[in-house]
Amino acid sequence: MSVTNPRPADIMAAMVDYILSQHPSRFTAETLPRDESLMELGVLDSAGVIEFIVFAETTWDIQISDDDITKDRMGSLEKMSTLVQEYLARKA
Amino acid sequence: MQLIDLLDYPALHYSPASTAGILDCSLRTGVLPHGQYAFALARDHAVYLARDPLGCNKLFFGRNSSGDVVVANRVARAWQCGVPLSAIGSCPPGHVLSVSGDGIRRITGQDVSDMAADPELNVGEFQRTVGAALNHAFKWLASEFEDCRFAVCLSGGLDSSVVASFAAEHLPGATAVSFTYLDDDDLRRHARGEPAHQLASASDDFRSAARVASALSMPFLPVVRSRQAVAGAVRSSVELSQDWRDFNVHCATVNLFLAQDMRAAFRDTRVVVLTGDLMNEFVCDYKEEHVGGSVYYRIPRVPSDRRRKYFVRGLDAGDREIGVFWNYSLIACQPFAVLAGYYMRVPARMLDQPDIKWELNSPLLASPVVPHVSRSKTRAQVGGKDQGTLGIYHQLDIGEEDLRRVWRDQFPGESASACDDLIQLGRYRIPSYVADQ
Repeated sequence: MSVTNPRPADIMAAMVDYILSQHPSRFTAETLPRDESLMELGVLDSAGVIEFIVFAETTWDIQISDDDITKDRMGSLEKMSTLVQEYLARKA
Repeated sequence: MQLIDLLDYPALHYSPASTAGILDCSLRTGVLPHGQYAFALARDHAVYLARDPLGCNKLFFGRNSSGDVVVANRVARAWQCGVPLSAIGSCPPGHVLSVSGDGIRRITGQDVSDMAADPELNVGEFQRTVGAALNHAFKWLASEFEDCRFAVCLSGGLDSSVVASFAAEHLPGATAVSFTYLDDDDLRRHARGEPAHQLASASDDFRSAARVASALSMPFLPVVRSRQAVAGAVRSSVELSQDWRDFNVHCATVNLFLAQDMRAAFRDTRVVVLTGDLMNEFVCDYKEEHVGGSVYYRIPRVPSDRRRKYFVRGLDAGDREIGVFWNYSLIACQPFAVLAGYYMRVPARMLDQPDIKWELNSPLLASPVVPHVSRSKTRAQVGGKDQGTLGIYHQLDIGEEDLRRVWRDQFPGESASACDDLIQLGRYRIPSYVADQ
């Protein structure tokens, strides 16, 4: 995976790997929902969300703005992946 | 479009400026002054909203079915005035928004939590600057609230002891107030007149607080409760703290007891209650707690400067001090609010030092209190035998899901998700807005 120009599928795969390894739950790579809130599913608590944000910022060398730390922008893995892609596109 | 202004929390901004003056100044400079305030002004066919940089005072707003803009410090009041919960948003801390027929615009604003640290911070200069800022703030309080009685919530820890030290110097007659649970026998002894801090079941923090007050020659008001009192305080703690998350609700319970007894002790008097809040966020020294095999208040495992950013950012949501005290017409004052800009400069390498708060802040203490301050104290709701209020909630088996249900009960007819969505990722929901040029 290229950190500077990752494909959307690579971003999603990295996020899923992170969630499964750092926040174990009943889900597997196959069953972890991509379009639901991980907080509402009980996978992440409020501290876990912060850890996830810092993971994304560190992995892709981006700085997520406070304005984007909302359920609309980060409320699922798919939304989070889209957000990361937007930040990377702005960097390019 | 009319403005329905239900804002009633007192404003403290440490300057003689009017709200209109603060708004005009912020429009010129892009910066809002430190303090605790939230206000709304109708001007030029729009409603301008402004909120202090840390979000100490809450500012909810939304439009009712008539198109009026309703603003309130309490979300429940805006909702009772006809704004559906899903249409209520929060003005972000340190921002000015305008609401008009064209929608919501961000006029200006900056996030304190994004301020850059200073890798070369000079500790001596830092301490002098912080001391001067606190002296200015306390002089302003003495002048602005000349006719008021002052009280200091004293836990026995460093933060509240610093506040007490400045209060003793600048605010003559200020009373120290501290809380402890007592067992039934000791409650009877206390009712017969025995000093609470001499009773065996009083918490160590409470004893420290009594010693600090004595060292400062401050009158001491003990606030005591049985552990059974907590069950009856849960609903008020959730409603007044505008939160269901356990760390805020537990703290609100302690503040509720303090507020009840202060109001009873100082009847028919304007009272300013000073607290040592905010410093834990500034130096991010919170720790998670373990009770009966359960982990509470989990701390994010991220670098300390990132942790501080999110602690400070999270001050936006929850109203466990100002909201609780104001319900009893007590004016809560968090003097450390004036210091946010200084403490955000403390670099990560210093935050990582285990005793950094003591190193930075102990010079701010009045020298007689230094030997009496509890250096390990961090959370008011954990102090005491059996881990205080947290331990009692644990014994009562009242968890976050129970608190969430209490929260939802305030809004009959609203869906669970509409209630829960008010706090999103650590902040009150901010509605979509357009950034002004």
